[in-house]
Amino acid sequence: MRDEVVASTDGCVKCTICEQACPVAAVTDLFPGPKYVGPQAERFRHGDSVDRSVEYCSGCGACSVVCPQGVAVAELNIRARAQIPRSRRETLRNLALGDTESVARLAGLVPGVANALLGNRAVRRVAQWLAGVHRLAPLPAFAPRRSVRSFWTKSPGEGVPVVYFPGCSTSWYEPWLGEMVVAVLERNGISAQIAAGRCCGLPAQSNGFFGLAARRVARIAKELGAPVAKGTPVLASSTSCALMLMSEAKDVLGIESDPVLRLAEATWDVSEFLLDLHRQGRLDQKGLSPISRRVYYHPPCQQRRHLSGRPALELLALIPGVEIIESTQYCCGIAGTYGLKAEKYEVAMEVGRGLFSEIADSSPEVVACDSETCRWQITHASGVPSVHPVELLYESYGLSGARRPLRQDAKRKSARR
Amino acid sequence: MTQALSADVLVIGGGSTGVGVAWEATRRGLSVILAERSNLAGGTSGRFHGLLHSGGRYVVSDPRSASECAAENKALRSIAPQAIEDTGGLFVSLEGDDPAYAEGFPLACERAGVEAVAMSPAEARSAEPAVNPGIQAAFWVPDASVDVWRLLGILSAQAAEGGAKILEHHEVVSFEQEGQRVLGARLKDSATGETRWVSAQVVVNATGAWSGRVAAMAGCEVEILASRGVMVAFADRLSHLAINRCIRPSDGDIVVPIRTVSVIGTTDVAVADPDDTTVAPEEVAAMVAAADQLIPGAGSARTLRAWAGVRPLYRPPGGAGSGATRTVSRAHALVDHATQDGVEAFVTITGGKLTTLRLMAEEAVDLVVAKIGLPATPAFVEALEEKPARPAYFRLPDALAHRESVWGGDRDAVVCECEGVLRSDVVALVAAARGRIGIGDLRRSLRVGMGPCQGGFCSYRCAGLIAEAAQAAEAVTEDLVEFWKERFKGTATVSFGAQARQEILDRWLYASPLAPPGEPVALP
Amino acid sequence: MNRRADAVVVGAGLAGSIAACRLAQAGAEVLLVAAGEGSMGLAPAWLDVLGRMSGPVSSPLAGMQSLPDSHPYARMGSGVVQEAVEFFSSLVSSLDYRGGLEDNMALPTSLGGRHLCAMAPPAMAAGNLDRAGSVAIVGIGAMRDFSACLVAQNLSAGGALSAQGVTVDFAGAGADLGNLDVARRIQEPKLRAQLGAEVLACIGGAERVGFPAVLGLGAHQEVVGDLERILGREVFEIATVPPSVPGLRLSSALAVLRRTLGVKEVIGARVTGFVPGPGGVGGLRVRAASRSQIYEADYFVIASGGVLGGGIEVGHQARSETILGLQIPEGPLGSLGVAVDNSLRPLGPSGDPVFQNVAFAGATVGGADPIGELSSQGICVATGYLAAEVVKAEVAKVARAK
Ligand SMILES: Cc1cc2nc3c(=O)[nH]c(=O)nc-3n(C[C@H](O)[C@H](O)[C@H](O)COP(=O)(O)OP(=O)(O)OC[C@H]3O[C@@H](n4cnc5c(N)ncnc54)[C@H](O)[C@@H]3O)c2cc1C
Ligand SMILES: Cc1cc2nc3c(=O)[nH]c(=O)nc-3n(C[C@H](O)[C@H](O)[C@H](O)COP(=O)(O)OP(=O)(O)OC[C@H]3O[C@@H](n4cnc5c(N)ncnc54)[C@H](O)[C@@H]3O)c2cc1C
Repeated sequence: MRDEVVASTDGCVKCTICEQACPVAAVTDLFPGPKYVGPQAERFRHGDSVDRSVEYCSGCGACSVVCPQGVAVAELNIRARAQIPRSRRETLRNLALGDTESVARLAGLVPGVANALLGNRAVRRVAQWLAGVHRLAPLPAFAPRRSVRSFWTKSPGEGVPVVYFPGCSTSWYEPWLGEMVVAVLERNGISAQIAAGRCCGLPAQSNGFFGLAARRVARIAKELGAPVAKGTPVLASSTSCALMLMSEAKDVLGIESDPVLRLAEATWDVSEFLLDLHRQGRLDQKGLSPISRRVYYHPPCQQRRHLSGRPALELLALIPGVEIIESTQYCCGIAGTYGLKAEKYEVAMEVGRGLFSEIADSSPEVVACDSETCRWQITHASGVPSVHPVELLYESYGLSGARRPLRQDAKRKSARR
Repeated sequence: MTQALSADVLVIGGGSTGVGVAWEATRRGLSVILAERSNLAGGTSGRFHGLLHSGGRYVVSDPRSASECAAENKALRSIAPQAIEDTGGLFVSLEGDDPAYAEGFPLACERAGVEAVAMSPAEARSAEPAVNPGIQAAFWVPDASVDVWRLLGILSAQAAEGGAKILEHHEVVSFEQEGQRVLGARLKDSATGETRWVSAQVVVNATGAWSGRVAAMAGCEVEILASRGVMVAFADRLSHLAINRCIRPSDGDIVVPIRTVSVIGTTDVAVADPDDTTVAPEEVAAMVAAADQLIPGAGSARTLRAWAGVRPLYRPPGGAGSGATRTVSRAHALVDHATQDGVEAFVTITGGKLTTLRLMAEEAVDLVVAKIGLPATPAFVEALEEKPARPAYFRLPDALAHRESVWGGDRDAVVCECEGVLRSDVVALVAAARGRIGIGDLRRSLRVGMGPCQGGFCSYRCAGLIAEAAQAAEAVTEDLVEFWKERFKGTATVSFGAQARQEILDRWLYASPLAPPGEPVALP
Repeated sequence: MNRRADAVVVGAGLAGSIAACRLAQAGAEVLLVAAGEGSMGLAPAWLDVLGRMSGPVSSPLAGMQSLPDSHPYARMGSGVVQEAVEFFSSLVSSLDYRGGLEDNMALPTSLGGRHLCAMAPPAMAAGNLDRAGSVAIVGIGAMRDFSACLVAQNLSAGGALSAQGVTVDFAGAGADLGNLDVARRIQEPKLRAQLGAEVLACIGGAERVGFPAVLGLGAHQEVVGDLERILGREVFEIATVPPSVPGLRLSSALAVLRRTLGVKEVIGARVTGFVPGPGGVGGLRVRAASRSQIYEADYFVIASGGVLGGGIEVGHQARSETILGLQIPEGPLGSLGVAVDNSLRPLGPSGDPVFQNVAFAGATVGGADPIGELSSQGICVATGYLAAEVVKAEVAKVARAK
């Protein structure tokens, strides 16, 4: 049978709606646009990779979201990008960015040293020259071992069981977020079992390592097979992990195995899950105490591909006192690891320019955004601290114990110049 | 009447046969005029299935044709590799197909000299993942696909280089005869309506399905059974190998990948009028269903166009036969009207396949030469033979690479997005023609407007470039509207699913931002 | 997993946007779901109501009177159409639409044709071909989608006015410019000043200057203002093939309105079917990234864009509406649509409404020949408006009953 993604090119009527929506083509001539490199080029590829023009696709997925004809434009482009022949140096750089789990496992052993190195300008200059990672790019900081330990030793508490999938970011960079997620769930009668710290495979996929990505997803599907079979929901607080587990494993990597498909159906974005609780009247709304704060909310591009509206926005609206400014911009530019790359950093910053200036204009106290890489980019570019929406719920519930180390944001800010 | 022309040979018909004859005659040093009533490949040749036959199709039913195809397949590959994509092909038998046919197939191939390699179903599936997984038997054959416009473009350009005069849009309307000898013919220029007189030592009738009519003008008889075949193109390549069904030739038994599309064909229906190229919706449905058997999923793939071509099947005088078109030989016929009808200096070459055009041309020119002798200095042949090695077969990704070559630069632009045609390609042709060129010509030369949007976006861009050069907006606009109508003719029977959506979009384009002055565009 | 709202609107095109905004303005909680963007970014942003019947129509309002009873305009009545158009104008008042239903204006096309429409944004309306005087048509060398030569020569050949085509370079802009590339670049004051100077040098005494419709997105007014200042005469925009820059301005204006009016949206998710309920439809089945969800509501507006938008599937055998599975009456491809009653409820083969709580709007509504009549946008606005009115009344009834 014809591959579904390839077959979707049949739907393209050349209407240009994807070109209108592409945030990358809007800011650079380096990218000829999603239609050009997608459904148009695909008819010629024939398994060959003769076109490098797809290189600058950031994989944000705007094209697939807006296409009324159901063409899997982004999926085609991510696949095509993975086919581009690369130099050894490029491959190494991409592997370092794509195999986040291995890198984090190593560096996580000595977070202090790693952070010191990554925060050092000279080191970053060398890293750009040697490894093609832009010296200013917002690399995450490894969490102190204390907070990591505190997250992993958190007990699930009482209630209806779910699995919480922490992904790389919570496992190694922002363990406090995991603690907060678990606490907020517990507050609402949900008992979250924490799944093993794993990479979902998305960074590997977007850096062209489909085999590695497929192994990552398959491993998770296997590890979570038992609870999923019992109908236990799997929750992710990282929108990219959720996207990978929900749809990209099938649509981009082409994995059709039962465990992966079942996992897809079981996977929820944590805000979507909480909002669903609320719709069922099971969310403790009364317990939310006022926070008087001006919050700018930006739904990340990956979250929009969950096709579930803006659940975090609706959740934030439940918090008394919060003044919400809703983003009208599509993308912050970072697109996972895209904006970290030396040759793409400027493009990514340009993509996010509209967002950054909207943030500046609305002078919020904090930016809420569901994706970690977007938060890092937003704070890097705008200087405004950023949090996951659940962090605000946590605060509003008056929960305590987990704390975001303040210096994280400060550091990121100082790394800008 | 404009000035008279004369040549050693007047070739009537600019299909594969006529162009082949003109090319071969020029190579042998004869002076040639070719007259074609529409454009090159404007008849059956431009409406064929696109397969450079391995011969496998005919090994059982028509072994002579099969052997000829096998030999000529090799010959054409070396003559015009740039017009050929070396796809390779499969013969497969499906569940329920007569196993005896597949069993006898290898021996029949061997006898006919057709190369065929038996494969296990598993091997065939890995060679062509799109093929029906339920295949029972499979053979690999050296099928290839041919871009006919390119092929005829190459041959006619070489002939023109050797001095041949190629007159498109010139119809032969009558012959000049002196007693029982043909002296030449009268041509009518369809652009100006003027007629001109061409005298020739020998006239070659290469008008395919029309050769009966043309022969009759000279008082000769050629009986042609016109047999119409329908083909349907899918918007994408569904397979990379040509896939033939390993059964007796029947309807919808071959899928050919041609450039960006796959084409399923064909049918075989006797028609009275060779210009009858109508396509019935049932035929389209039957073709799509047949494709789905060879390539599961094809049934729901987007169909792009349907068209029909009319085969010139030759029936020798007095030759009996049931009249069933499937059983008439696909082999070609060379008729010397001097011996058959007592008319001198007139020969007809017809029937055959596009694949066998070189052989047909060789035999026809042999006869011409026998009638008038060779000129003393066949200089062109040597010049031609000394040409440096030709480029290799074309490959689909080459077109993408061509498009890619302009990306990121400041030099060029893509005009036809579906087929990756560059502005520089269009401008070069327009300039060479000094603006006297139609969008249809660009289509045949460059594939402009042949992709999924069927010209919706690129045709206007081309019109702009032509208008710029010709400074004749009115005529260009008229040509543009004609082009739209012509494109719509081929999509009427395949407007389902995505193609129906495309059609609405294109209709909106022509009714709204691209509405021409005056009356709205009357699309079929 | 279910979501609930007072009304669910399917489709983010012109019709769906009008319906959603109208409903939200009336205080309803509206959930809008769309498989993708609508076609506003494709069509020129003039507002067609009725441009042709057997020949050109000079007054849409007058022409409407002689349409057959089954035509959506006839079903709704010209009063509703007028109200709807007024609603549209006031809704997108920032775009300052000109014209009205009394008289059509004739605007130039990219092929130098005359397009008859009821209303248009000011920069397009300024291209009115019935105004006397000479015009210059400006093409931009590297722009593939506009030929000043075709436009100008065809306009002049029409005899009504004298048009001169000029083609200028857009400095440093590259060799291949799409409509959006120009629209974005021209927002740079320096670049448009350069362009203006180049144009000024070659337009002689032309009284108006026509550009392809790429004169800026968000900064459109500044772009037009600057060019008029530099050129010292009126500037107008000529509709182009997609992407339609004026269409995008309309589309983003409506998107902002939907958001500020509190419409909740899910873009990118396809509705694949429905679940029955008391009024006919209880909820719509929506395909999210990995699960289906049911969107429940009291009332539903389906503005799914007809064949092109995805609201009608043309199969080898049958043609059917994609959400409720309604059969589409036979007809030419360009006029396929759902048969509706005067309240836009879908009709079954017997001619009776089959779903009480569903109203159709936009290009999925049958009974018209939108391409031949040049009436699609008017139908979208009017049916979107009426669908909202019908739903509004019904939601109020439900509220009262509760
Ligand atoms: C459905 C179908 C599928 C086919 N598929 C294949 C295939 O896959 N592979 C293959 O090898 N072969 C195939 N064939 C066969 C092949 O297409 C024909 O054998 C070949 O194209 C015939 O070429 P021709 O030049 O003889 O005829 P034509 O191409 O018809 O040329 C005759 C020309 O004469 C012109 N003409 C007619 N009258 C006059 C006049 N009075 N004055 C001037 N010009 C005139 C016509 O306009 C026409 O262009 C197929 C045929 C059909 C019908
Ligand atoms: C190039 C072009 C030029 C045009 N010019 C003119 C003109 O000059 N005059 C004129 O009157 N009209 C013109 N039109 C037509 C006019 O623009 C459209 O007919 C009109 O905009 C349709 O609007 P709509 O709201 O009905 O549908 P659309 O704008 O098509 O929106 C349909 C919406 O429904 C969604 N949808 C469909 N099916 C589903 C589903 N199953 N689940 C979820 N969502 C779904 C789609 O994703 C989309 O958001 C033109 C159109 C084009 C393309």
